Amino acid sequence: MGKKTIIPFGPQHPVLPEPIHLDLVVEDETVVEAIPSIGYIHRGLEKLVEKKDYNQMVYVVERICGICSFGHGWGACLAIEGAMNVEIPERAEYLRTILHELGRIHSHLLWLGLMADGFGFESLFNHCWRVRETVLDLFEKNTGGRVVFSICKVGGMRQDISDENLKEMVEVLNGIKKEIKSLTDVFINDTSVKNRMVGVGVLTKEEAEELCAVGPTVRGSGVAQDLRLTDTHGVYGKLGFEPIVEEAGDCMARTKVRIREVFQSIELIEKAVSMIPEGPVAVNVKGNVEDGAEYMVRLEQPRGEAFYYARGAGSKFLKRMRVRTPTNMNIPALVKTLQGCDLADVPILVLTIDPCISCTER
Amino acid sequence: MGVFTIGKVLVDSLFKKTACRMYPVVPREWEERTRGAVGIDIDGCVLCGMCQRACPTNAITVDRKAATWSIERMNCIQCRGCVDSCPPKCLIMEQKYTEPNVEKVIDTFDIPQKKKAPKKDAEGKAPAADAAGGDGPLTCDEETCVYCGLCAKACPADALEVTRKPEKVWKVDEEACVKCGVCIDKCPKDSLSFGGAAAPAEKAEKAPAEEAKEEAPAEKAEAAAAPAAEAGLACAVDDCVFCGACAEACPVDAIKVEDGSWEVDKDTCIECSACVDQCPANCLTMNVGGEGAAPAEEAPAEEAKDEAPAEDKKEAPAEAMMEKAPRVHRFAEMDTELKERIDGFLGEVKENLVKDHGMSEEEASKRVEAALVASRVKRFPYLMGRGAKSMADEIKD
Amino acid sequence: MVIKVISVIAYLVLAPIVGCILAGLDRKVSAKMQRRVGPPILQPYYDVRKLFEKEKMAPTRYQDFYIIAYLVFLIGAGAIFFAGGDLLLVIFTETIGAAFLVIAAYSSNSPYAEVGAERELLQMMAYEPMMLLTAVGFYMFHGSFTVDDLVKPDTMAFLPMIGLFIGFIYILTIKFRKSPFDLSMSHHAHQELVRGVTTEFVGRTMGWIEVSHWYENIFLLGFIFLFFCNGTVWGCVIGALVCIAAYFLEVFIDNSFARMKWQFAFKSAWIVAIVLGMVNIFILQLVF
Repeated sequence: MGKKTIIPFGPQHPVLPEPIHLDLVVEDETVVEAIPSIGYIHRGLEKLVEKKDYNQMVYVVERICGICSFGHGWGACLAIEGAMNVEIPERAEYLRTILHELGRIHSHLLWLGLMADGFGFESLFNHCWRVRETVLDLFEKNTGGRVVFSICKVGGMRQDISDENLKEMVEVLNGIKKEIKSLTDVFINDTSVKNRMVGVGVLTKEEAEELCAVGPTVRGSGVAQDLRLTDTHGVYGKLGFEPIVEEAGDCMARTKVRIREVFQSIELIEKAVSMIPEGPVAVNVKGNVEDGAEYMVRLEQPRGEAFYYARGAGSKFLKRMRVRTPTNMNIPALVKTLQGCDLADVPILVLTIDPCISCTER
Repeated sequence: MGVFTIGKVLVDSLFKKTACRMYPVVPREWEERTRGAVGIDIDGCVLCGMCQRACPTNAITVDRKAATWSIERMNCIQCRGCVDSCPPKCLIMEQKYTEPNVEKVIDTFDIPQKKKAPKKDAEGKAPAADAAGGDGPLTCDEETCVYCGLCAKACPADALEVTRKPEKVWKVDEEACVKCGVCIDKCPKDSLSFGGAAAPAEKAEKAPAEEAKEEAPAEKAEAAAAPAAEAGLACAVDDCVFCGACAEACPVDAIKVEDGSWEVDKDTCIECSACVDQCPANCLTMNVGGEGAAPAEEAPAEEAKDEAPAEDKKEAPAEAMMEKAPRVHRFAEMDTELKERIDGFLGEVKENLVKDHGMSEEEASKRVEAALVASRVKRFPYLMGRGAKSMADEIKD
Repeated sequence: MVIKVISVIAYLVLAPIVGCILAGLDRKVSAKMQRRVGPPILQPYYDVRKLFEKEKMAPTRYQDFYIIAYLVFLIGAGAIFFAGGDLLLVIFTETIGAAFLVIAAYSSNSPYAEVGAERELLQMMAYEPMMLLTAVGFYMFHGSFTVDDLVKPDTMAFLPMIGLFIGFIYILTIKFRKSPFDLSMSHHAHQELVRGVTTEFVGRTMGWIEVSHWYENIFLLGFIFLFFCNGTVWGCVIGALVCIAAYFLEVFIDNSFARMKWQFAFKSAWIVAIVLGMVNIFILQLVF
């Protein structure tokens, strides 16, 4: 019998992208148990509803996280628009969908880089992030910001994106497809990568459903759960969306799900750009949210399902803005997969659920 | 085989240029939309303060008395909220980011004071002396106002309420009004102005109204004398694309656009020119000046109508004001228990005014009414929480 | 005798300089492969200089003793090598030095350093067989363990000992601490053990470890040089070129592989040692 040590992992750890703390009970480099704790980055953003009116609150919600930024802005706007019974123009819906899918591409490319870094493959990490820079440039050209876009507002979009810019966006994305393919082939085919990822952190379908995992974590285990199917947000119904599912349930399966989602997003953007109608991009929204008017909306963020709930107070301030992010639901799945794994696998497993602790803790 | 799968990428990269942008050593080519820092065109600024309200981080401070506009660069999150909400559109989003610094940077700009040039109407006659300039609250000349509602649509602060049916109403919420002047610019009839001296609301409303009444018959007489050209709204049907934007913009539904035909009901048309603004083909023209005798005949009748309600106003100012003030309206709809609480509170306030500030009962009630009416009621619930005494202190002058 | 003293002094003085430049080139070439700009070539020197200026904050004061012992033994091994001493003595001295590093890591009582130390021990077990087999191979081919004799042979040892050469390059990846075998102490600290063996070393102590890496690199490249000595000048030239080529091959391998787990490193190193090493020695025994 080996000696049990407790290795503290995080919140500041060079390999970790997010400040999660895990106490790993390790016995001869095998993790017996993992005890998570979060709370290192709680900023109390939801309390700012008392100080910022509902227009300014959208900015606050956008800045909950840098990677899921557009999704948060969109969700907050949807929730407030629902509470005020505002219907936004169709072009705005299309633009929001396009930018959200672009955000998904960015998030997955970033994640691929982090994953490569997690198993010590720095060159792949840097190449993935180099391709991600192209996407960030697209964002800057169209919305003005590389990470936080501030382009969603209650009632639509702040600025229109011209059709030429949209066509250019599609061209650029198609141009980097080849590069992305050459990099993702490394993930799928390289022996050393396969050695680190295949068979590691297996989450069976039953476990995934029981632990209520969301997003690519659950789609890698064979469950076809994707909110874009429900067509409650955006125009996915018109774009003919099918979720991507892998059966194996290990790290490699989740990686494959995300890789295929990148290519799927490029196709969705192309389709949306070809179908986008002309028209205004915003309606003028005046007045306040009624007292007691509430609305809840669910979005498919790159990491999974996110809830947004808004409740009005009759004045320009909201009474409550609640955000529930996907990583919150994935942490139990993480803890389950950590049991019995090697110490060397811990960063891989933490990364495979694509944690975004700053979203979880706002 | 699965080894060196990334080999080709690595070897190719050895011979390619670096993908790094050596910013800030090498200056960057910014995108057009990059949100770098906020810049201001000080000649256009009217010190309305809409940017200050929109800013989520309270980075902007607008000092009306000192006529300065200042921004804390390090607080600014480059969100464009101020740029979007600026009524005279004098704020722009520059592309270059604020330079890093060891201290917090506050940029202050002095805004040159300017008088707005008085607007001229169709005949080229300058309007009354105290129009468009001035310091008082926003007032509407009810004689010339056609209740088109363009001011209310344009108002960035949502301070105006204009309805035509069931009765013609023009209301301004003075608390919300930021004196940006966008409504004055938009008004097709030049009915709006910033009053005379800082007088209470009811007096200010009457003064220009009376003056305007004197002017109005003179204007209309002149109008009748003028040659009757193609009067009212006209559409160059050859250029018209029959899009219907004019019909949608019309507040009185005077225009009908169907496949291939465009027609306007000139009796309904109030000549507000909202359609002219919206037309994408620029095929509409509005010739203000009236159609011969008809408007002139209407004018005296309208005058008579206007006089009657004005007299009513004089008799029961408090009630009339109570009806008009939107906040008090809401109180009337509240349930009785709340109303009793409010009445009790107001009684306490009156008592405090009498006891602590030595006012007579009559004066105290007047003050309380005035305070209620002057829409300080927005802070009412807050003050209720703080107590009757402090509200009395607030309204004692 | 004079030559020996000169070569030892040359090693002591020049090895850190050459090692520093090689380390800088390693980083620069890696950066170019990743389409980055990379640090200046003298960056390792700047790093060590900065480390020596830092405050000393050690969890235990015995650390320094162990690290100095490690450094002394490592430099000693290199000095013996360049002075023409016994190859086996060189290998064993180096092993003791590495053992001192492991003890230093254990002495800090930190979980990361402990796990790193365990991995370092496993690494040592992984590469020792191959090193020893290489020495044995040299003995079989040239008839002597002494480096003096090994640099003056008649024939190049490369082709007859090609299996051993390839095996040696394989374990060089472990010794240079490059992916896929940078298990215990990654230069980039992007691994689960923060900095592994060297987690708890700060300031001057860390500086000494960096310097010892430079010495070690040069001494290992010296081993490769031995494969190409045949007493002539052009043999030396080829040797030097192959050394540099081997170094950059390691850099390339570093950039092309993910990090493997210790089980794989251990197993594969022993399989390589057995298959390539033992077979080669067998052939050497039979043929030569």
